[in-house]
Amino acid sequence: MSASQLLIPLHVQYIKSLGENKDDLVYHLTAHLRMNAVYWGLTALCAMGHKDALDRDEMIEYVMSCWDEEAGGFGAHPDHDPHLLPTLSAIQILTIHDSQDKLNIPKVTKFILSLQQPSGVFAGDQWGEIDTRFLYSAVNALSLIGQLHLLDVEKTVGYIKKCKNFDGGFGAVAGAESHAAQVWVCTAALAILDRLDVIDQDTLAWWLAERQLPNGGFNGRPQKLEDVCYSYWVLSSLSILRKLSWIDSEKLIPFVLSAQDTENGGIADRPGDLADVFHTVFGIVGLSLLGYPGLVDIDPVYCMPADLVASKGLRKDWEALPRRNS
Amino acid sequence: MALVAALGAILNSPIPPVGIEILPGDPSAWLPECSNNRPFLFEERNLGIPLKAVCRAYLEASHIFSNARKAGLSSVETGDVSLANSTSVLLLANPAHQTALNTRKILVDSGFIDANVELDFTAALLSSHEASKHSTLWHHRRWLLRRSRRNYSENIDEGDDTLSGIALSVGDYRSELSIVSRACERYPRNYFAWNHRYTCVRSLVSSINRLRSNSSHSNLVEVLDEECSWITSWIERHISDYTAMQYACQLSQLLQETSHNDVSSHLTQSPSENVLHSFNFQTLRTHAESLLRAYPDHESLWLYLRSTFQYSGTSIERVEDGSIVRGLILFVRDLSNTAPKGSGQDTSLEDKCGIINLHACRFLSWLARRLNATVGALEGNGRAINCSVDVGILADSLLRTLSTAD
Ligand SMILES: [Zn+2]
Repeated sequence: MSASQLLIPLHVQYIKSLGENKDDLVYHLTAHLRMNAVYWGLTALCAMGHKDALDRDEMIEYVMSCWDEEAGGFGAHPDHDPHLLPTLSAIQILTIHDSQDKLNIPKVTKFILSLQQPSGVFAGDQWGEIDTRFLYSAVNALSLIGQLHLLDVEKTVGYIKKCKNFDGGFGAVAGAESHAAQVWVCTAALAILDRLDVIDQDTLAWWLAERQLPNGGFNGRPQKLEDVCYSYWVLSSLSILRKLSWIDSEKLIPFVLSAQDTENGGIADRPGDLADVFHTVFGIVGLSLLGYPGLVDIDPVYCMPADLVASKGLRKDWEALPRRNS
Repeated sequence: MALVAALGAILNSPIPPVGIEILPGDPSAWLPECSNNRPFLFEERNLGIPLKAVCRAYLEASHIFSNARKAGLSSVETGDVSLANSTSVLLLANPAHQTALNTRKILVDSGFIDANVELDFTAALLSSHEASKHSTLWHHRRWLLRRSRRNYSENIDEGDDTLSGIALSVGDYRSELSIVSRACERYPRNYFAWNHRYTCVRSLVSSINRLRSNSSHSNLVEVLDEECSWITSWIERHISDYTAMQYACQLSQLLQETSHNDVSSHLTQSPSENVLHSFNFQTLRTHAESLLRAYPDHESLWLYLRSTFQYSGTSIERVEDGSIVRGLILFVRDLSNTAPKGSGQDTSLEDKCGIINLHACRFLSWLARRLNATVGALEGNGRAINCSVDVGILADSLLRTLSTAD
């Protein structure tokens, strides 16, 4: 098969196959990411218009098997400790499947809020590692379950401000180098909190656009290799800033398509590497933001189906490229 | 289960390995004689394990871990042994296994694992390429240091995962810095390793602030002094490493902020005042320019030069007479003029020339934005950064804008 177009049926099949080999080593080695992986797979399917390709009830049952009643959060796998990252993924999955009624909202809200630190950043769990990714997870999750009013917004925004670098970008913690993925989490969190005024928008958009390499792909930091997932971090951030036209999408699309596995499905970080679900979802939702034909609109703030986010009244003022017919 | 016990005994010994390496392929390739039934090598505190053995051990350890957790954490002594063994093997194969690290923290808290031994164990894990990129292992080290070293400050904001306010020794600082350097050699641009380094150096500066005339003060100043020379030479050996250049600027900023309070007097008294005191944005700028002259096709160096302006108190906007800016524009124009020109046959040279031109354009457009100067070629469209505008024209029009402003 040719890699000149997105191989939708093959990728659907690839995602369906991921949960099937529960005995193999890879399944065990990635257990600590299982909840995230289920969310990635589901979101990719939604973007391709095949939301029902994975069994809904089975998925909800899995999510609930990872609930830690004592802590009030979700782990990535029943054998793993609760953490903010899988907690967000669990809430996203339940929201996509219209099953928030399964959630103990007061309890999970308490868990999330308990992880905010005096500086405004969030720890991922009780052991205290901090990262703007965790801050975003908290803000996104609270927003999806309608509990954002309980968050101290000034304190939260205060920490993001501390992570802002001269190049307009943001890092994982105060003082850390700007990094496209961290830029996305900070930009999206600020969008949810209606505080995009914190961003030096032109400076940041130039920095993001400078991540595009002559081969069309994007890196996440200067002089690093191009990688499919970085196209999503950059595109979603630019889309929130309504500056998606600043990059050359005609060069980016073929790069993403060339990273497809044309035999077994899935997308890799770059052509020739092994496909995985992480790069598959971010490759596909990136293409969706570029208006690639046949895909469903994805909200770049929540990284979830756009119509779902809009139906919950949470849509922010982002802008993707218009959907093309062919 | 015997494999997990055998590996666990080595990994959890009071003197853990200093290095761990996963060897490709299966044990027979490495262990033709395969003595005493151990499918791995352990010599001079270096552990080498064939990939196939690691995989087998991982599956065994997953079962042991899962059962031991179900039995309840730290309930019985034997449970602790199987938790310590299984978690060490899980981390060997999968350093991102956060729950295993959490469990080990519980074992440290309960006294079953010694924090210093655990620091050695994580240092060994971090010696592998794969492991060193995971943020959780670096956090684990900071957690251990906070747990095992004395606090000298009442109000440590533990919530920010800091090491400031913790009484680390000269040896602690040297060891953290060298673990980071090793990790960055093995895994270039290692994001979380560099963050760890910055956390350590901030702690170092705050310890120096506190100690004044204490005898260990000058030793700490010496570590800081070494750090300034180290980062300069690291950048010279890694001219594509923008992460290092960003760190150098952060370090310079830290020293600049510090010199506003009374620490500067202590720094000046130190015997090694030369390196420390000349480590400022002016020096870094000269450094960036000299490297750019030699390697103008390296994007990192262009951004290094930008950074030295952005961080410093003497930001471009404040230089009224524009002499620095003019100098900079001429510097860029010269650079791109002297760049090798493609002959039409040598495509790699042509590419290189195109890249230099692109970076020079991006630099000048950045400069124009800082100065709020409108330059026709770039006006109102961020997209122009990805097209090549003629550097000479850009430079000249920028110079004209400046003279009108005067
Ligand atoms: Zn990637």
